[in-house]
Amino acid sequence: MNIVPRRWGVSALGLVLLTVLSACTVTGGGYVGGVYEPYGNDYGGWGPGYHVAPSRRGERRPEQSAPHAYRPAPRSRPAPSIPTRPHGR
Amino acid sequence: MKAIRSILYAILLSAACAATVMAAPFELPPLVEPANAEHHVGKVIWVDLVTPDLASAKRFYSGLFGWTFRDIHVGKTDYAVAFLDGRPVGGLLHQRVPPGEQRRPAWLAFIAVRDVDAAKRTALEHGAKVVKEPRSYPRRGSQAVFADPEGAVFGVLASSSGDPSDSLAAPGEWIWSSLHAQDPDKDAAFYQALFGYDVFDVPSDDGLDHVILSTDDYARASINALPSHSSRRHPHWLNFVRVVDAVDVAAKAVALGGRVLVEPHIDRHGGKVAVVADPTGATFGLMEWSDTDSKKEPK
Repeated sequence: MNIVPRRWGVSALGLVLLTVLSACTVTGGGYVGGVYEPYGNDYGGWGPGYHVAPSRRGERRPEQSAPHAYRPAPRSRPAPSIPTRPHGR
Repeated sequence: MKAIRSILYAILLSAACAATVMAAPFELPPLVEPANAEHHVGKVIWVDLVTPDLASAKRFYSGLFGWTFRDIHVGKTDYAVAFLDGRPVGGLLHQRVPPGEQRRPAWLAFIAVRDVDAAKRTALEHGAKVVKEPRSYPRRGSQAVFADPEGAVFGVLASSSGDPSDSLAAPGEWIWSSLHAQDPDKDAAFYQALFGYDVFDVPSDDGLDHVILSTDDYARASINALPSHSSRRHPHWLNFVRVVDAVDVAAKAVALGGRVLVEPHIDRHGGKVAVVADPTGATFGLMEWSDTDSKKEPK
């Protein structure tokens, strides 16, 4: 007679225990900051003219270039620079 | 009756366990305090170092840039927020190198988005992979980490306190980021789709492709073809700290146990840049930037 409620009880208990287990193993305080890079290579090969920095405002653009996979900004626009306003102004 | 009692015990245990976890949230400082309503999609707004030696990293960056740190220890996670003059400038995360693996510590740049889930969808549609699924942090916002189609790893962050305003980085703060890619043209298309960048091809003296990515009419990052004779052929992001004198700071980095990987030299903007590695091998750049426009650009 009590078999059905007992089965329900056991199932519920199993469910709750599963919840307990997952709640306790979750690294709730963790931080997914980042990952390591592959190892073994090093820097080098930055020859003269290998420029990575932004330009000062108004750098000329090449007048023509081959088609690109990206949509280039209009040629009439010079490459912009970084913000120059100091903090808090 | 016995079963019901067991269930009640289990619920209590579950609640206690959840409460323990929830009582210690991983609380990062907000990016902007007081919060603002500014959003600068496409701007690098946070940088995290992943390192197996947190103490050594703190000593190095404190000695090099004068950063101070606030430790956060929750569960198995050790993290330190770096500050300069009271402003948070980045984070240092302790993470063990998996046994048997040779991996290099790295600085990871987080780029501003409005919606991390939407960014994930767009990134996946354009060939990226998810490295860390979107996740929210109290006071910080939501973030995720992706690998672009070439494998360069970067983060996206939707800050809940707004984005830092567009101002010139002070010496000791991050000023610039460059992506070094096998195919800058295709990579620029990927990042344009993801962040809506205006893309400017810029002239080069080395015959390689270099482009500037821009939003809000400000340059946000560059993409540069990996030099063909570079031994480091895997695509990667490189982040630069503003310095007053790159030669001095590079020498100081060596004195503190780091290495100079690319010697200080004049770049496009007329100031010097260099690439150095901290004592555990994490690479970052140094960039001079004068407050005035008196320096002439190299021809």
